[in-house]
Amino acid sequence: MQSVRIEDLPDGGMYEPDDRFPIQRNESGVWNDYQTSFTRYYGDVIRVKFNWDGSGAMIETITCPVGKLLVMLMADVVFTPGPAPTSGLIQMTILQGGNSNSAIAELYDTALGQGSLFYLNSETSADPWRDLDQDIQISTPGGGFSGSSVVSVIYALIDPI
Amino acid sequence: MPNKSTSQMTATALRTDDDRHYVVRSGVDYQITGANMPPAVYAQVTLIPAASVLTLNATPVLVVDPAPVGTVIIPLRAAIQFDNGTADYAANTTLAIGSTSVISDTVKSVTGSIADRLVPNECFAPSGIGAFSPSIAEDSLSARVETGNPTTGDSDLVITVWYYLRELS
Repeated sequence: MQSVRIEDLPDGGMYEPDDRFPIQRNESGVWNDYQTSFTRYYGDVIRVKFNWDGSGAMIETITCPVGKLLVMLMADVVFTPGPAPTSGLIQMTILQGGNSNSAIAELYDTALGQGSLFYLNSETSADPWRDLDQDIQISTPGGGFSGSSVVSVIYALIDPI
Repeated sequence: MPNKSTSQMTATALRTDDDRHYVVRSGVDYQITGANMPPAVYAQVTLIPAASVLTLNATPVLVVDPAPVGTVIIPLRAAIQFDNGTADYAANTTLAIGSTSVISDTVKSVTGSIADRLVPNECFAPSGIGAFSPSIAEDSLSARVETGNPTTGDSDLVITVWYYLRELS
């Protein structure tokens, strides 16, 4: 039977929580075959990515299903420089539910690649996250930057008690 | 050619965005790239002797090795633990961790305190615009004390930094 290599398969994009994959586990000196899911093996979180080419403003939304709480756990951005950096500041913002509080990431449009976490803009306001049914919105101001960015957000969905 | 089981394959310690993983979704086979998998969080532990702590403003100490070519370190958090010693550090007790080539009083990623040797401290991203600085691609991370060197104190520091690597596009 003709074997199929992994790279021959269709691209599944970002992993999904219920995707299954094989593992082998050494038990008492014997390698046994198992399958497991991302939720069981990596934890009950979701990861999404957004690309921004810097040519215009970016607005991306992570939709919170009705009746759920969407809790952002971590977000970061990687900036890959283009050929003509402007020395300008790229300030990305994450809002949830239009709350005035937010998380930000700041990168400079330089010839150096950079990576940054999103961190709290202010810790003096009320809790900015964990509002029922509220989406997360990631945005940047207008473009004009020489380079590209990839934003990665890891979040969880939970049922309110 | 006979198939190999996973346990017979050559082990690799590296992870790249272009690695391919096999998954089954709703009964259909797919490949998923390493870039689309959950991030791997790494940790590096560094001991900074007390003598080096007393010069940690002028001479930062490397706490995470340089990122591989084409990648950048994203520091998440760090922990400061104190080993031995009888006296707390005095003056200039804010420890910052950031990219080695640019770290300064104003350019850093996570910060914590070394003021109380009896209490392990957590370093985290400060809040407020301009408080957090991006990491530089292919650079290492170093620990540095802000403003000036501590004046007294005799504990060794054990710094654990949790981070992950992202590839440039």
